Amino acid sequence: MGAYIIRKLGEALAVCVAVSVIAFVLVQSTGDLAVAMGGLDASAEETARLREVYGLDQSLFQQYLGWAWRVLQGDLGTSYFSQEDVLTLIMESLPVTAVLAVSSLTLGLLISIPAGVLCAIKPGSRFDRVCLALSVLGQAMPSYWVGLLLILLFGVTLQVLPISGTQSAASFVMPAMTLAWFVFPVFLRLSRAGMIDVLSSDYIRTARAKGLPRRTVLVKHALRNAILPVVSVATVQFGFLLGGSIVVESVFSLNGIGLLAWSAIQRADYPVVQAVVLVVAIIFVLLNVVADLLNAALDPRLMSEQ
Amino acid sequence: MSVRTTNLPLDQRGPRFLRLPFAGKFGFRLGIVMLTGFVLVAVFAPYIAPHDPYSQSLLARLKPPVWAGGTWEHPLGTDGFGRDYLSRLIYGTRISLIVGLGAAALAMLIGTTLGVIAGVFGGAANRIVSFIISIRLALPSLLLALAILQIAGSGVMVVVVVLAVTHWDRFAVVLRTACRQVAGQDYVTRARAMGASEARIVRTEILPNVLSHIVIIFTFEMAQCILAAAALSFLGLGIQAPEPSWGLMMSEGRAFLVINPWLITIAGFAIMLLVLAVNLVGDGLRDLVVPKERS
Repeated sequence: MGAYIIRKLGEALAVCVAVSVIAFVLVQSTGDLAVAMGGLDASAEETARLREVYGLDQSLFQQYLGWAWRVLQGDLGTSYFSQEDVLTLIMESLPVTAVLAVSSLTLGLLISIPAGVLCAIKPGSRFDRVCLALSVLGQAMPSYWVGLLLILLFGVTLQVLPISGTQSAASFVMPAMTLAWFVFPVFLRLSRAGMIDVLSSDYIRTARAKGLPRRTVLVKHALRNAILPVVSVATVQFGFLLGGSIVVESVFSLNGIGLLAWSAIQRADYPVVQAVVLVVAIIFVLLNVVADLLNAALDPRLMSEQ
Repeated sequence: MSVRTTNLPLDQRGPRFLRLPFAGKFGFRLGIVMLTGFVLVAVFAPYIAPHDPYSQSLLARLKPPVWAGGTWEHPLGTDGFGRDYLSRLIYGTRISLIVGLGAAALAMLIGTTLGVIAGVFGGAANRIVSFIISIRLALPSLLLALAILQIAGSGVMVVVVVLAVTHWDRFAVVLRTACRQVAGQDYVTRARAMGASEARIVRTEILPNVLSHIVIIFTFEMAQCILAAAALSFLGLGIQAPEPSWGLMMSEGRAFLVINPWLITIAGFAIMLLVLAVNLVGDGLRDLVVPKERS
């Protein structure tokens, strides 16, 4: 187990370094950084001074090392647009996105796991077919469209929910519903297929033959095993939701990290874009390590695989 | 040449959750009919569209569709510039199909190459490819795509390339596994013993046997690329105005959400139908190849 953990962490570290190089190159490719930092009305001396202070006259490799060293110390740079510290901006918006990701994931799981189990108990039943049809539709619907339709229904027609902003818990209801609908197909299929597999296995037949109550067999024996893949995919999906909620955050003007990144892209505020790419990627890598270790703990055979 | 179907899991990361269910023959047929319809509309757009999709008319702004009090002059109404919505929708089919096909094809080229290299050669090649796949998966693709489009400028070609660069991973992951299995077969060993070069083995022994996987992932990724392209347009950094891209049409319709909700409803519905059609076809193909896996 120890060697496995070290190998996984080593791989994760290598990926993080590679991602940081990409994030670094992304900003380097946008043009002369000294001019971008100084603004249009900076004098030639000011630009030259910025170039010296930030080491922009050094070789790219030296610049990368300097930048990476600053990042490790928590200095992600300054926003071109607002001159604010980028780390502060990210720390302000990350909680909003995290709340959204957690609530939508919880909502999605609370609906899709019971639905998946009910489908698996009687595959081919009317309920099963309706759920599957919904998941096929769900996979084909753009999430921002779902968001806009919800705004039309709850915000414009019924006027029961706020259509934008982060003021109250109610502001999170529609965004969370949108993203829950987005993850529903994945988890429905995963829990349904897992349950169908498990229910046809020998130990379930044994449990039934022993005369255990139906509920005990379903929940204690079957669901506990069928849910393993759901847990690991949910961990990874959480990472996706942290980075992938740009569209939904922009539809609902939710001040999360997605909206921060999107407005930064529109303003060509690249230090912010770079930092968001880096932070989201690192969180994703860490979540993957957690998922891998979780899986290995549950199924030690995985440790011997390449 | 020996063509065999391989009963492999389609995706290591979760073989089941991507599989479209109800994939009986009905779904397959429905998908083919729908997709054929979309292709015909795209090809014959100039003959079908009742108006010029670009011509504006300030007098005819924001007309409702015919079922909501509009006239047959503009069956689906008009947008904020008075352009005929049906005509824009018809021409938009072209953009969606071209971008979806182009991006999926390029992604296929990248992913298949990497997957075949990793699967056939194994060892160090496999480790390098695995590393590249990990990096690709760690990067937030939509965010990166938006940033690249902002830096490099938006155009159909840039959108296609950006989408391909962010959608090749599934090809690589699945083909690596598939190629590894095929490469261990006796007929590959035999071909090698007979002195066939690696390139020849890949071309005549391996690729034909993993072709079905490529086709299936292609349809799935094409659907994903159509959705992603629409999202990029919706966020304002994909296909640019005045092109009738469906995502852009929704983005433009957002300003008139309350006055004319049909603008976003119809364009979103079109995206959903096209993605549904592609997914149904992909699922039907998968059933043909791997009948046992049908749920």
